[in-house]
Amino acid sequence: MADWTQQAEQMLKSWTEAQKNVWDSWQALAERIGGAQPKPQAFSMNPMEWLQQSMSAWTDPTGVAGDAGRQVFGSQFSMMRNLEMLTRAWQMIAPKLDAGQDWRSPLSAFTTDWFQQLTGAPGGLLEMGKDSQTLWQSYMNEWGPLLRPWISSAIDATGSGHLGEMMLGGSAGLSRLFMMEQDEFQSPPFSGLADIPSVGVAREHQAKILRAFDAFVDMRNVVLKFNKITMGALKKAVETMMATLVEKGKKGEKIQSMRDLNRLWLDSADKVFTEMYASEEYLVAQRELSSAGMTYKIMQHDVVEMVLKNLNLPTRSELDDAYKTLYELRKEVKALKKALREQPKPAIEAKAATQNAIKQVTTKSAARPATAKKASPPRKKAASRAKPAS
Amino acid sequence: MLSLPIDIQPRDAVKEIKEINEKITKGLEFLSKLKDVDVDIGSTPKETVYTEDKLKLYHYLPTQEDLLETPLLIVYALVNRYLVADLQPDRSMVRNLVDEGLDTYLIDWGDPSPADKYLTVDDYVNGYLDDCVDFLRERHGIDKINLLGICQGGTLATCYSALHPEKVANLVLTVTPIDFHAGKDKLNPEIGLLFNWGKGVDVDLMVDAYGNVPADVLNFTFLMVKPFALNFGKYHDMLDIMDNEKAMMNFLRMEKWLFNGPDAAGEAYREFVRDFLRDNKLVKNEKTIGGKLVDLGNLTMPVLNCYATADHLVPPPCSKALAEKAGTKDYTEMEIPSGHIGIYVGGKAQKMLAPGVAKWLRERT
Repeated sequence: MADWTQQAEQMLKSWTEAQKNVWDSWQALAERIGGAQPKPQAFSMNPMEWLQQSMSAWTDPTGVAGDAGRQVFGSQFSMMRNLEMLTRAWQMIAPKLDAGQDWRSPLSAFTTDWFQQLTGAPGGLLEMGKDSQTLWQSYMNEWGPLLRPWISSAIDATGSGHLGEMMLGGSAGLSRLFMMEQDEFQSPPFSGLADIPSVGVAREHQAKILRAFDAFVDMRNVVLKFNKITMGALKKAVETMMATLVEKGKKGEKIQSMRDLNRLWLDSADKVFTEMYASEEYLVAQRELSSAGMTYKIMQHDVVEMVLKNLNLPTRSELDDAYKTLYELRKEVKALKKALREQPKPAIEAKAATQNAIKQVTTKSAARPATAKKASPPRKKAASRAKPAS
Repeated sequence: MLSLPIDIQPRDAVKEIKEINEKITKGLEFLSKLKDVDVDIGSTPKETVYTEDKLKLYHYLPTQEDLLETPLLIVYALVNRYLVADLQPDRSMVRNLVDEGLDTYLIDWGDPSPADKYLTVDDYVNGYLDDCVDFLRERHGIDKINLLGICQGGTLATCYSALHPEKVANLVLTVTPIDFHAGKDKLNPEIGLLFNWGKGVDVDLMVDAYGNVPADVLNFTFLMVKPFALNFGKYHDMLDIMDNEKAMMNFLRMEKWLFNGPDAAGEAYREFVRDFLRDNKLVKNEKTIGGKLVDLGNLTMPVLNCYATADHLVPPPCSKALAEKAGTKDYTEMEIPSGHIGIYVGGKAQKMLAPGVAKWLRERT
């Protein structure tokens, strides 16, 4: 029925109007709160970013107020995006519903497109890890000039697209890169070349860099897998939300406020995500993601250590050694102090104490008639002495 | 006939936006005047009576004359900060305990630096905690003190009490995990989710990579349990209170606590995740600390076990498992209708937890 489309179009119109209203009022708000004219260009290019950055100037930059303010803007921004997404999704499925056709499959395609647009990188979320040159460049971007002395040839090689040249430095890990996305029945064209060793001091350095690259590649692949699962949950969340709306439509129920609609979406999405979290598939993907991330971090440390060593600066391993020694010494000192406090007084001290006591008795007995010294009540068992407050 | 269930008229949408923005404006005016120090947490008057490395032992200044003779030592978790137990004057377990006439002490573990990454559970339990207990025994001239554990701090207090029963008069536990594998509910998958995730993580790799586990990583995990509600929904709902300064301050205090946690000392974290979360050794009576078995049968002192009915982080069965294992003949449970954090900051809990603990302790003195 045309009504569906008309209604959805009407909704979109409302949404566009509302969004415009939001930006206008936020600009006015920015002027009012900030006490200064916002930079129109920066605001019009990305109002959300501008507002969030401005929070630091408007509030105590070290405080929780600024963070909360940023989050409020962020949540309103996300509400607007969610409403647009839900309305467009509804607009898309409405005719299918009306015609009694399958609406879930087209919705799935719509959701994929929507979230890819949202992340700003159509290939970024789901397909990263396929292009070796892009991967290498991305990896190098993480390191910047730090590794230039060791890998300038590799950078030049990738810059010219000659990955083979880089490979001749020798890395078993690179074989893995070339194996990516190939099944075992295909013969990887370059895998053998990657095993050719190079020689000399540079080899060890390059090996560390390339091992880190291997871990980087592995991590990207795992991220890819993880993102696919997350994307699946997002799709399911939208589908569940649409199903809820359909049910409400059948019952004649109405959602009359943007915030109610947004709340329904957040609840619905959380439910789907929580179910996903408990699935074995997710637990495996999460485990792999965590392990790949940590492995890459450890490889990064190796590379940083190499750089620091070359600059004659202390490395983390060296610091860890010092920390360990410090920890053990501290523990030993504490144990010794405790033992000292708890052990019975040495014989010589005890003897001196006895002598003092005898002297006291002698002095007292000389002054008054001898009486038995009343024993003081035993103090409740006192604990070993701990260090007092400093 | 089917109809579009979204019935937001342009006029209504504009009106709603206007209202939202009025609230945001008012809220931002308030936020812009606010200094971070104004968002005060942990304000119950206290003095530092003992320090060791980064640890501080606080003594809360008594407000009542009829003080219970045996002091109460609060043991907080190694993740997050103790301040949730003293968030604000009208939402403070600590203040309530003090007002109930309990001579209250609390351990602030401090922020582990990289130099503390080798600290183990043994160092925390048989080192720091034991030193604090000894300090209090000497200060008060008594043999035994009362212990109160908070969440993971309760697990540590349980271990300590099992290892040193001669120094603990009464053990009070709040939302404390004992059986880390209990309480799963297929109908409510978020229940016990954190422990489930924790089991799967390669904690060796994590500690090797990080050294100390950063607070941000721990926080991220907490937030991911309900990603939409905790990352967006909460701030979306914050709109309702943006024109209410008191409510905003309450909100900000909680935010400050949430996002200002310490890193976790690497080795202790590794040991905790491996032996407690993953291998569940405590409830199996298999955990050793400092070369000694932590035998829950040694918990012969009276035990009060408080749990929260809607706790999805430490589901009640995780805590209640102690009933079967503790060696005491005096075991009591207290059920608080709240969530994991609500037991300390919730309105109802204010009237139940501290008064209940005080009454229980007085009955045993």
